[in-house]
Amino acid sequence: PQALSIADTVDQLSTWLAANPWRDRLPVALADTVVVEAGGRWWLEDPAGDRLRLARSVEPWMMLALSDGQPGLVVGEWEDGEVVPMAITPLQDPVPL
Amino acid sequence: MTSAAWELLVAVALVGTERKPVSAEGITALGALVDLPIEQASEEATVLTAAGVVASYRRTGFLPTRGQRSEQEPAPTDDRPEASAAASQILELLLDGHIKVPGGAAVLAAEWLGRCADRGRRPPARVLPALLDHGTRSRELRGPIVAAGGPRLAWLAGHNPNWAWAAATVTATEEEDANEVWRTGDHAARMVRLIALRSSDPAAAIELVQESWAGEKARDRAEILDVLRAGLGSADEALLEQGLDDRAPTVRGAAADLLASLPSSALAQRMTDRVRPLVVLDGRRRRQQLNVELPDEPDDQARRDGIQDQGAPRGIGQRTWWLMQLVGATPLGFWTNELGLTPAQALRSAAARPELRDGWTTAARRQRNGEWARELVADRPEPALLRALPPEDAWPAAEAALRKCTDGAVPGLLSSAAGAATTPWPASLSAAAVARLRANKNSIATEQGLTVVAAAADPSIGPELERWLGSLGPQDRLRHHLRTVVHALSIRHTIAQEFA
Repeated sequence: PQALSIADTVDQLSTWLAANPWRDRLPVALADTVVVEAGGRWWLEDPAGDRLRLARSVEPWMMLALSDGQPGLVVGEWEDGEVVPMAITPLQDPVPL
Repeated sequence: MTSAAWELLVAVALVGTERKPVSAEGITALGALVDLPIEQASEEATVLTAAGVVASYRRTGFLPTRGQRSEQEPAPTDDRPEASAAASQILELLLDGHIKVPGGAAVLAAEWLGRCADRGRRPPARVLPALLDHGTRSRELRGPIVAAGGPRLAWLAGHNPNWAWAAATVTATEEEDANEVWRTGDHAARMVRLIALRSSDPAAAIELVQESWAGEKARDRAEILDVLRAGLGSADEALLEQGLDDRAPTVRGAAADLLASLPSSALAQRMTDRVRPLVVLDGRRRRQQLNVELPDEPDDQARRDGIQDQGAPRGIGQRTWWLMQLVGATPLGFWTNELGLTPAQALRSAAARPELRDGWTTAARRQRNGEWARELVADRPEPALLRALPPEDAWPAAEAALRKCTDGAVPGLLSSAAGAATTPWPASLSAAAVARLRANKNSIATEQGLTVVAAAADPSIGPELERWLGSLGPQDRLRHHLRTVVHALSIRHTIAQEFA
């Protein structure tokens, strides 16, 4: 999918879900996001300040290590209102997150 | 509107419409919400249809959380180029536990990290979390991990409290930060900080320790003294002298040991004063015969200085044990400068007095006295002494000792030679070790010795080991172990080449 801001991603998800509410996992590609901690949870945050929660099952360390805290593309799945990341830039040599 | 409806729906769904009937108004409200022609007659149909619609509404209508934008600093840059792909892959396999080598993969990982840092390279970002996890479990890897990992590793460590040991060393580059870590950090972070400061500025480290000493727990006091062993100097004496009166026996013992390692200390002087009256020198120059009488029971002052009744080696009498301890804590300069004996003369004239030899061995190790250590090692290879020698002396001494020692003593000797330096042995010692092990009749000692060879020998010795392996019969019990040693050396060889 094309990389979108978090606000546009949420719009996109709504459209998909409205068309087919039985979907429980959907792809996301989030542009320019950083991994941040707030309120005891880890989030993906974009330059507008919008945040999506990282799934509880995901440890943020590999994402932090690969990104160095710099904004980048995150590709993953949206599931139950949380993001399960699968790869982040650079994508030439994907590492399991 | 929807959240009220949702709560009603959840309450009904939990117990069923039979137990929790929905009122007529409720049905109407839900029906209006759903905006579908619903038969008034069926509560169930209304509830289920409404649930489907409201749930979809809730899912599709969610909004992202919007908060204060986080002010998170990105990692500092690291200008060192990344290690080669082949080297990185080896490190990943070592950390994953996919490579099984004698003595454990950690030794090879440490060598990898050391060579990486020496060559001014950095490990790839994807191994940093695994490195931090390994360092959290095994302390001995922490130094190499922090050195190779650089500022990016330290930045990452700052995000996870389990990794505080790695974060402290770099966030505390500034003196004031360092002191702050020492005052407020947790145990691991404090010790890492102290070790780093001790190696860069020993005097600043002792000042920092003095500031907090009275408030430290006994266990921490003992651990702090252990850190002070590196870079020991006369500036540490005041604190150590105070340690002799400590409540905890471990702290008293450690303080006495450290003061005995400082030939200029007052304790060393007091020990000399205790030994001097026991010494009798007979004969003329060059033919002098050294005799040392056994001491009487130590007084309270001597006991404060660390002389103990317990701990004597097997078969050693009480007074002989006291003498060994006194000699072990007396500066070696007493024998050479004050009595005018060379180490060789002293050893010759004490040939029948093994306790003097043992005392000097302890003293040479504590005072890191190369002159005495070389003489003692040449006379009888003592593994503990090899560690007191600089590597360029320890290696030839080990090589010479290999020819003299018994089959069973070979592994101990080899591990001491390995402990003399973090760099691999020179080729000649590596070859001598392999030849000695091949001739060894004690199979357990051979296996143990090979484990040391796997970690410490020059990797170029690999082909020699392969020839040995080829000469073994198919049923030979050593085959399996030897193959793993060859494997380890070939990995080390690749690591060395990748960082050549």
